[in-house]
Amino acid sequence: MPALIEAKNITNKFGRQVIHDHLSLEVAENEILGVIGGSGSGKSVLLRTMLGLHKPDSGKVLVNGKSLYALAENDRMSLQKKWGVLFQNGALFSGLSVIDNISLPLREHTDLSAEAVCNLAFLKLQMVGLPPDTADKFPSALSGGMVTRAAMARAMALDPGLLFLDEPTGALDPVSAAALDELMLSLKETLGLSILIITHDLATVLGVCDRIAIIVDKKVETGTVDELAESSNAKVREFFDSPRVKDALSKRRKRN
Amino acid sequence: MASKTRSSTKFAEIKESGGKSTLVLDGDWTVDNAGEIENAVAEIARGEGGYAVRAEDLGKLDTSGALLLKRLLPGKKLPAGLKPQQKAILEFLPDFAEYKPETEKQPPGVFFRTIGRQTFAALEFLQGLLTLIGRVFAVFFRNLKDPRRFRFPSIVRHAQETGIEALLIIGLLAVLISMVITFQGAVQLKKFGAGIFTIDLTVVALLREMGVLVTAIMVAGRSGSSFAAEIGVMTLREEVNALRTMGMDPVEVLVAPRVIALLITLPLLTFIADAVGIIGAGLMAQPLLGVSLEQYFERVQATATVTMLFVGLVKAPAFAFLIAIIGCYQGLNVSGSAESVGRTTTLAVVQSIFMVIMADALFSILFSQLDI
Ligand SMILES: Nc1ncnc2c1ncn2[C@@H]1O[C@H](COP(=O)(O)OP(=O)(O)O)[C@@H](O)[C@H]1O
Ligand SMILES: [Mg+2]
Repeated sequence: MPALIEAKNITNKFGRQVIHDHLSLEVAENEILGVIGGSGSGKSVLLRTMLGLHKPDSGKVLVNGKSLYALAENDRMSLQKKWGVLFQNGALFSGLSVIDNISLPLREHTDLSAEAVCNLAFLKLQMVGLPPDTADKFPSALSGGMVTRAAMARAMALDPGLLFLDEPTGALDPVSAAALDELMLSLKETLGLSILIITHDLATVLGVCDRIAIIVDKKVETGTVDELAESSNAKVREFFDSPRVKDALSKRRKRN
Repeated sequence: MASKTRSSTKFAEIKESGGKSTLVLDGDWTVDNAGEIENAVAEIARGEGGYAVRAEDLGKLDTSGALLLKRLLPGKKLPAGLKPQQKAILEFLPDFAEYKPETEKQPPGVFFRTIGRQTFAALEFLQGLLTLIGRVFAVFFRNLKDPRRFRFPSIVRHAQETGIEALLIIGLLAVLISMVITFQGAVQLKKFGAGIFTIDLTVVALLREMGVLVTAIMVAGRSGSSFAAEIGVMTLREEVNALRTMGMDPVEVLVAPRVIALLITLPLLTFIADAVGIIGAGLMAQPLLGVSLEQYFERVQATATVTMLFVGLVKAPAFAFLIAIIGCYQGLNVSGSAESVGRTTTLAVVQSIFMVIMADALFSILFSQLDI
């Protein structure tokens, strides 16, 4: 399967602190890739690098075979337009109501009528499981989990082919988190999306992701859960070595 | 066999044959074409229904296309000839529900309502301000017993920010203002042959009014706004609530050090503005009035009195108190979004400058009653 986006030999440093050391990662078509790793291991920085928001110290990000950071501003923006992004803290526009937040990309990039834009935005709001009366609320009046879901709706506004989600289940209750997992699977199956999801949620990692990329020691190791659990790197194995994971893994094997 | 096209666009057309009408879908129903599809859908929806829908030629379908398509499906029956994935999309979307914006109906009598609301808001502001002043005094007297709780490092930091870092701009401003007064005074007074009195005019104006007023306005713009913004952001991010839950009083930790710092720096800045202003006026007086520096300072010496200096300086702590309290009050009362921090900051500056000038007028009345 061809890669939708590919990070090649990325090195990132902040001052003397090296975050990524010649790290490579790719997202294939129609797959859900889970990115895991300890806090501060550089998951969000990697995401920003792939999004074209943080130029790496060395290495390339390839989209459709073109290097993202070598493109002209306009070409880069037209690529970025085709992605949906959910930032770690939601990044909703505080001056706009939820429905206007979701409508914004639609207003900007389609020629739909104002009414159709609102209806489409309202549909997305319902798809992420927000109650209809959230539509007119402002972000400051939302709980953490609601912000995440509204941001998810905004990320989905333009039906992007590739979704980037940074720890979406962090602030969600288990029921909503399960609903989000369900939503991701539906999106992948019905709309043929690819999703890169940064997560700590075991249920997501084991139940939703096709492949896992784990950041350890400034590098990344990718594979299915079972492959990583047998990895030659002790630190990777350690991640899958807790009783909870083992339990979940054996249950999963039984199911298959 | 008669076959006729009733309405036709690239994406949807109705074909009639043998008395039956069929809606044929075509092209990519995706967000990129959403505008055109919407028009096509609207046109067909305007006509008669009673058609069967065929989707063999339908290309890509996404949620925006599916939403528009659902409008054309009578009785929610799925079109014939859908690919399995397209069927899945249509089934997966929640039922269409129209978004109705909440519109608040404006009751009659808006004018009086607005006046009433704003009066209450003003009263509330005054009450809040007085409460905060009371709490600052309470903290002050409580801390006298335990001086460590004055948080000297914090006071020093704010004194540095509001005082030392403002020296240059305030000095410059004082020089310019006194030069302007001297120039204007000289032009007018020379007509009466009383040019030398320009020096009296400048010295009196500077020491009694302009020195402290210019300093206070500058400090309100620089420090009052930054107090409001700093504390406002902390309030929004619940840092203030975090302080409360840790058993720390925000008034003691955030407000008191700023008030004390400004009480120290504003009088000092005023004194410096006075001194620098007199020098500036001297530089202007020399060429304009043809006096030497020595003569100028003799004249200043004869005019300026200690009372005059103190009439100016005594106002400085009062202005400082007003500026700091209003800045902090606005910061603590931010609610909502990041946007409101901006509005609050503006409000803090406007209100504190207004209050400073009001207070200055009151001082003038007081001093004239006291014959000072
Ligand atoms: N703008 C920045 N300046 C300096 N260091 C940063 C910056 N952003 C992130 N870092 C550092 O990079 C590391 C990885 O951060 P991040 O990617 O946010 O971690 P996480 O994997 O938890 O998302 C952390 O050690 C963080 O301190
Ligand atoms: Mg992160």
